[in-house]
Amino acid sequence: MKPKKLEDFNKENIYQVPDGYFGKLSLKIQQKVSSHEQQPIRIFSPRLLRIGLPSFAVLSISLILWFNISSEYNELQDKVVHHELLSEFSQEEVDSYILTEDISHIELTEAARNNNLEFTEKELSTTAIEEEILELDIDLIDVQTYL
Amino acid sequence: MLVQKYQERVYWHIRKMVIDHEDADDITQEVFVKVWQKLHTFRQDSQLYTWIYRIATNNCLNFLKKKKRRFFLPIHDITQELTNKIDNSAGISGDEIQRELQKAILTLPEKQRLVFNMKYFEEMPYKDISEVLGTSVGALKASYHIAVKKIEEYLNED
Repeated sequence: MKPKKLEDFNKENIYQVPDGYFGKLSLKIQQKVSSHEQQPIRIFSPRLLRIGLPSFAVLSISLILWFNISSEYNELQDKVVHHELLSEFSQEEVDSYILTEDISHIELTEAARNNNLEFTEKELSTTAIEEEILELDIDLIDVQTYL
Repeated sequence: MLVQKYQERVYWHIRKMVIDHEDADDITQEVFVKVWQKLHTFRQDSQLYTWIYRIATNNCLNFLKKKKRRFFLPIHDITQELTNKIDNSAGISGDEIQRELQKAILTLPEKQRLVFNMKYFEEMPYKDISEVLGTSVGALKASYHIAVKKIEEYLNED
């Protein structure tokens, strides 16, 4: 038997469509196109929201957690550093430094706050210190001479 | 205008790939909506009809991919499903020999089937097929040659 070759076949289209199909098809397409034109423009498509919202929530929670953990870690690290620095000096050396050096009011407040000392800004004001000295019965003139 | 000019060519191009009329109808509509939406992105460096064919081809391939994924079907089963449609669908005529030819074409891989349909049935120049599929003319010629050999082998099996 002679082998079949492609050129022996007719180029026949065996697929059929319902009567008047192409006339209706262009109408259907035009309707679809105009319905698409009337749709409001959505900045956020439902698909984008479905994927984006959970991702945004996870990212936000992670950022908040990271921020909290890192700030706590930094505070702890600061305390450790302060403690390590102070431990290099004796109590006497620290007292002498405070008495002899010109430490500003702000620095004292900051130091008190960092070391959880219960000094208030009011307590550290010049008037309060002067009153304290008066109560201790120290001669103010002596102190001024010393300073 | 644009729809009326190209709708039949596009429909037949899709129909030969998906076989079923309802599926081809849906995809053709989707293609023209997409063409309408993306018309402003059309660049004059290709012909309008090859650009539309490209959209139609991509929609067909996506449809077949989704179908496989939806039913967890391997390629062989998709071919079998389409072959059954040729035997049982009401919208298909032709004698036994013509049906056998269509079944032989269905055994080809999807992209080779596209090449074969566009060259054999639609008699498109290789240059235009190259614009549609983004494949070199040399590769298309080789693909068509292999497709013809496979089809003839299938037809001579019985």
